[in-house]
Amino acid sequence: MSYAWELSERALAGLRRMQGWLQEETLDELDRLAAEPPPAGRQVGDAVIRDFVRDRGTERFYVFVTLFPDATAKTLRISDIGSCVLPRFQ
Amino acid sequence: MVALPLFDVVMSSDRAERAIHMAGQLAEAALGELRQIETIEEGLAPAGLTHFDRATVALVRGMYEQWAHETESLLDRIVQAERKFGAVPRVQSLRDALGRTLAMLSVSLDDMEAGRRELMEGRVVSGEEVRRELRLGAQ
Repeated sequence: MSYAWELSERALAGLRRMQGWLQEETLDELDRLAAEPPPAGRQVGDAVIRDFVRDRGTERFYVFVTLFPDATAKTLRISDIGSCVLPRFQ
Repeated sequence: MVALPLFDVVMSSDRAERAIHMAGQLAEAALGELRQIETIEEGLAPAGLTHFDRATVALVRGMYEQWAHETESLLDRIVQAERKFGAVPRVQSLRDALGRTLAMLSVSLDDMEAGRRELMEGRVVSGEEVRRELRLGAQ
């Protein structure tokens, strides 16, 4: 059974700092994680650390997400979202 | 990364095979260091959303910051080595590890703590609201 997901205000601020297309990619990634709980990732305490990569033109974008799965509420609770971009090497 | 000065000496020679081999070894060593930091972090993290050990998190972040700084120096040298001698193994893995680490470090310690507090206090935005708001903002 899939989960819902929700963002803290800080996580939403991190999402807003991204370009529009990367925001959409991030939302799609969160939908995918919520569709198949519990999310896989590096476990740090009760948090699950997830990151993913997207290429666009000559750049590679890295997105970092901290999730707290709540099995009782069937919700992925996201405390923060970070991102950075590096040149893409062919 | 104590071997960086030695790598500079190897780079200054024309022995391509030795330079590429050493660059690959240093890339692998840097990836191993990152795995060690992650293991330390996983071992120290307390369970529970309410438990945020700011002092420990700050120390672990310092380790990540130092690793990222040293890895940027190493990658600068490896780019030079690749131009001079050819492809170095494991470099893309190291670049991706650096990108993931910099993305993680883009979230400040204050924002990490505040984000957890907001979850505990119910100051959250649902997925549907987020999509609606971002689409309205894009119009």
